[in-house]
Amino acid sequence: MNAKVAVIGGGPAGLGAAVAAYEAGINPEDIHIIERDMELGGILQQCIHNGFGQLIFGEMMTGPEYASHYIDEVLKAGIRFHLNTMVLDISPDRVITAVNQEECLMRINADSIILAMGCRERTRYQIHLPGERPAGIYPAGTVQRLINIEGALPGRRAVILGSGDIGMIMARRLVLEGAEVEGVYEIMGSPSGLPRNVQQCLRDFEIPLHLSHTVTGIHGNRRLEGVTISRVNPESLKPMPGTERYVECDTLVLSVGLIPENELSEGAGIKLDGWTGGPIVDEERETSVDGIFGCGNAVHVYDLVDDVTKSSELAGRSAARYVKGETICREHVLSITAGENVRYTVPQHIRKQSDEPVEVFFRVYLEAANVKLQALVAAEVISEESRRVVKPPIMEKIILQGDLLPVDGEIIIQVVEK
Amino acid sequence: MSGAKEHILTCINCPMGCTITVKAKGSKVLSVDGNECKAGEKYAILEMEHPMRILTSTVKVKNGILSRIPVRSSAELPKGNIRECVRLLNDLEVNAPIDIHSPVLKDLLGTGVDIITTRSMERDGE
Ligand SMILES: Cc1cc2nc3c(=O)[nH]c(=O)nc-3n(C[C@H](O)[C@H](O)[C@H](O)COP(=O)(O)OP(=O)(O)OC[C@H]3O[C@@H](n4cnc5c(N)ncnc54)[C@H](O)[C@@H]3O)c2cc1C
Ligand code: SF4
Repeated sequence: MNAKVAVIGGGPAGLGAAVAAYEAGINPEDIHIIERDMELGGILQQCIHNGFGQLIFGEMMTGPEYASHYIDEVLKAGIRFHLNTMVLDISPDRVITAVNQEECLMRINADSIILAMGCRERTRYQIHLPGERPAGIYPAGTVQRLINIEGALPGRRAVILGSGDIGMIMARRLVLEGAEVEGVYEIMGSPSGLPRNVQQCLRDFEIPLHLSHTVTGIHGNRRLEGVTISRVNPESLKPMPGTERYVECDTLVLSVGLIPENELSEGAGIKLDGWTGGPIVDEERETSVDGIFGCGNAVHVYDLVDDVTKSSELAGRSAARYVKGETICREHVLSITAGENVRYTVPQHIRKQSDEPVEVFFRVYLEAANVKLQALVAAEVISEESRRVVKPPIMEKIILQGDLLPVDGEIIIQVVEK
Repeated sequence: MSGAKEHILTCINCPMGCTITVKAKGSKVLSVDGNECKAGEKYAILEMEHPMRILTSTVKVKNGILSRIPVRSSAELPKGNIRECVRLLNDLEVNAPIDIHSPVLKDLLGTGVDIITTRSMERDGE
């Protein structure tokens, strides 16, 4: 099979990219979305709460509603999609190997590929949780799937480790479904999820949030019976002896972070960024391998699906441009570097010739008030914006005007006090 | 002013999540500060006088490709009624196929607010 644009993953990123490629003039018959699940929509199908779509639609939608808008667009356009189909391998010359029930092994020769595989959750092994290994320990996304899709309550009394958005959202959901949530424990000194979720998911339901605390013991043979909680030193994050407390629970929900899903990218020889966990991309979202683009949570973990859609539309348009041979590379690559109080940036460099403004997304390390976001070239400010406050859970963005970009060198993104 | 109290709220209207300081006497709001936009002021006043929330949950579905279908309230409901409303949904069962935005329960507790589906669901095996 041949494809002009092959999209891997049918979540909001994949759907947005496919529709944008179509709108940029690619024949819908030549666009293929490959999705391993039984339906399109990705993780949004299990995110039944509201709070999606505010930036794009100006209203708060639920995850399934947001997904259905883009699924309808894909259907209307006549873009091809393959469900229950799992991509196993991508080669650097863009041959995709996938499997499904009907065709068994499937090979697609693609002129361009868009990676939109989303992200996965960190597990207990990745955060080195000590103790026994009973049943009853779940990543928050699994709890979300169990309750919202399968209608099963994982337990009666839960402890939540980590204050990521999904963990807080599931704390509320567990309470509404009749379970008890003893508390949310966060190792850092501030919540890792959005402030609005601290309010509407925890405070609204009187669920205690314990900052600078972590789980230091797991107890139970077959089923979880309880956990040990300790206070941590706010600087070293090490548990403080003598602060241990036993908490009875049959369920431990982990909301300890997400990592872009990139086994396929590695197989294709795509260079990954150690900070984001996703491919290094340029301003058009092209990876280090020619004709392979990335978007959505596969590139870096977004907190808002609206931004996922925008990034995917950019990747879709870029893939279309690539397929039509309209891409013009700059003579010199401009690197974008994370400066003061900036953890990482996406894109990591600028490679194409264009006057279009470039949006640089980034996250800060630390909360700070009354700051300026700045882009510097050779110690000179080329773009600046003010913020009353910046917080690690909230992704930031600064816009670089195309005509202000230098011919070569480095752009430093920093956040400094006013 | 005597009897006035300061309340710290987090605006839930957008991801910014502004911290809003409200001075109020009982539920009567005297001043609102810290909101980045007008929506925050509206939220703060409502939050002091009569807090409202959107309810999202799932209900059982028969003959569908899945066994639950997600639903939400068609408008905000009084925050204090949310738990009771969820309990009402527990006994509900709808039939597939069903369209997105179909009402599954009308005029919840006399509020004039409906519970509607947030996706469509095909029949199993079709
Ligand atoms: C558990 C969880 C809960 C979340 N909850 C929220 C929330 O409440 N609010 C919010 O704004 N954001 C939430 N997010 C973030 C949310 O994922 C993003 O906003 C958005 O859904 C990301 O879109 P995406 O298309 O990049 O990824 P996804 O929606 O994850 O889609 C990726 C798709 O790729 C498919 N796929 C992956 N690998 C392959 C393969 N090898 N072959 C074929 N198909 C493949 C997957 O099946 C999936 O359908 C959540 C994320 C997770 C993981
Ligand atoms: S006050 Fe405005 S900007 Fe701040 S959280 Fe509320 S809606 Fe958002």
